[in-house]
Amino acid sequence: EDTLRVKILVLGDSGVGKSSLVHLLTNHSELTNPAWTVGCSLQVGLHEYRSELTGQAERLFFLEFWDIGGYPMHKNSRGVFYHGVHGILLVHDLTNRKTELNLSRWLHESCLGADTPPVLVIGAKSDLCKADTLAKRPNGGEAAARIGCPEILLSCVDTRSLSAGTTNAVKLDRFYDQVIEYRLRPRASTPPRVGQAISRPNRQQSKLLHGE
Amino acid sequence: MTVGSDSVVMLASMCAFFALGWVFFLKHLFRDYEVRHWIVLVSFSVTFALSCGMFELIIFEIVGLLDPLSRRLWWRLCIFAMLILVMVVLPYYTCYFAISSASFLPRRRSVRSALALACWLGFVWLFWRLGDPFPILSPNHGIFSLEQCIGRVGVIGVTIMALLSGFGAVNYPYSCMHVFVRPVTQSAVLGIERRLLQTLDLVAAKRRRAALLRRDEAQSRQASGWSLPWTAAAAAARRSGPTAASVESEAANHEELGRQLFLELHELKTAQERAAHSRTLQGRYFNLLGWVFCAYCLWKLCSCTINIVFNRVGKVDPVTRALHICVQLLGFRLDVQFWSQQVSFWLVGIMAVTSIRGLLLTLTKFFFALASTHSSNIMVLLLAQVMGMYFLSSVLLMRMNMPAEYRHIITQVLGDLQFHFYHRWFDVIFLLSASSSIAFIWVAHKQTVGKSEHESLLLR
Repeated sequence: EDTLRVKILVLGDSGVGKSSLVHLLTNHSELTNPAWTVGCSLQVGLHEYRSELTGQAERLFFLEFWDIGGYPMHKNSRGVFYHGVHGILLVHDLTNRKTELNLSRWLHESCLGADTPPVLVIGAKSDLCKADTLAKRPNGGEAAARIGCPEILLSCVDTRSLSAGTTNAVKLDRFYDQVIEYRLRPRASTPPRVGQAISRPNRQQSKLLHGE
Repeated sequence: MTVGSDSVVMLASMCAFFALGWVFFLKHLFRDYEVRHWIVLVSFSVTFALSCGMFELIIFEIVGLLDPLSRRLWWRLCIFAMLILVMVVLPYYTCYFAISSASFLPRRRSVRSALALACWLGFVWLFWRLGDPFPILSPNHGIFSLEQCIGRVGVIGVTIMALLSGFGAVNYPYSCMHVFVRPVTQSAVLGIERRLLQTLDLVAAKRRRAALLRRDEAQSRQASGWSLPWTAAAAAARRSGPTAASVESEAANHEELGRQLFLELHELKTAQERAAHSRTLQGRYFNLLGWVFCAYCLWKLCSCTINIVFNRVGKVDPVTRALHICVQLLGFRLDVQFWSQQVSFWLVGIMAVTSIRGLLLTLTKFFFALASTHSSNIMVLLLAQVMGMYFLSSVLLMRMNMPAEYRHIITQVLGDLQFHFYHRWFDVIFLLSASSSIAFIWVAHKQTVGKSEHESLLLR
């Protein structure tokens, strides 16, 4: 097979809804009996990528979602999953603000190299949230602003949150494209391409590390 | 010192303890959750404040700080408030939150409150029946007296105390002493990590195949215009190959193996951290403490066994006995009154502080291990209830460790309970808990030692 793979980590506190989210992204349906994730649960989705610049035909990519269990006591063994990562999904629970505040800690834990892959923040359980909380964050909440990446608000039990054409689906597709571009670029540090949203520069990552 | 100024002093210290409990709850216990129901926070802090207040009153009793009348008044207040908390407020709210989290029950407030009340009445009935087989009280008490309630709370609290002490006395030396530290080689850890990543690669390969098969099945369903499941299966059978579902189930099996490997890796890493910690200065200090604790545990086991076998009831507390030994056998000339007060003060103070700290640490460990977003409120209320019962019973049991002149306030306040029964009950449960902990830890240790030998054989 000449189909390439990209590795996307799905991180967040225990119980925010990472497994439901990954099931929604890969199977486009609701996860009916979620169980607590121990270690890592791997799901695979497909994405068709067309490079704008080279104008090649669409290529099929495998998106491997590594859904990592969020138990605090398993922290010492999670390091084995953090190698060769091309994208990070940070998930927080909209009904519990503490999970959002912990996201920078998760990012810090998982970023092993100097170069940070593309990040997308996802606020889950929007169906359990009051409408005014959602209205207060049209352009992303605190964590997304601090990390410097876009945010999606959705409900993992509602398959219409990510139906084609919605803002969420557009942002998600753009994130997948960024991840694939991160995977495809040569290993040496490349200058940013003109007119394209890039992954955060290292300056912001060190601001995160020192601001913790 | 009038009752008024004494009350001001007591109120101030209660407020300080309340603030301490508040801060502990917000900053440590509930740091990963949002506080949505303030009653949980308030009841936890009030329970903590009352428990610390009771210990403070014992210390004041020994030192002779406040007016005896105001001390007795505050004792009665504390005991009464603690009983109301442990028997009414905390169980009712536990039932209420348990009912709220059950999704199949109606959402209206009045229905939930009514159901919670019914559950609470059931709890009270169970609580009452629990105390019947125990010889808690002398026969000249009424049905609904304070002593009945305290007696029952005391039984439960003493059981919890003995269980925790028994397990702690065995587990603490085991976790601290270097004799039990398992050496873990870096190659063993790397070996498990490699196996884990290989298993995940296998899972990924299978799931990739399943994703392609699902896409093909969806496309063929659309192309042929059929959306019935058995036609899709028939088409797949004609295609002669595995279906997405079968590949998916194979992947699930491999994922289960991956989970086991992850848990093994976690055990190895924890053992490695423990070995590294034992080489530091702090580790060596804990090792020494572990030996001391081991000796204490053995002595306690022996004394409990002797107490039960010979049905001995300690009439003399250790403070007075130690002073007698000093004066009569060793010939020191001491002012027994003065030294008895000093030693009791330090002994009771140290016991109070260590038991508060020990219980808070244990409860925090339980909470972090068991709580989740849905059950956090219920867990905290249960823990507050355990804390209340525990501290009430430790006041009860502390009576034996104090000289006779300080005992009578506890006897007066708690009523005419059969204190000897509680000590005997504590000894029995402590013995049971410690021996079963020893057996359990022995088996677990043998298992892990056997597994690590198996691993090293495999690597070779």
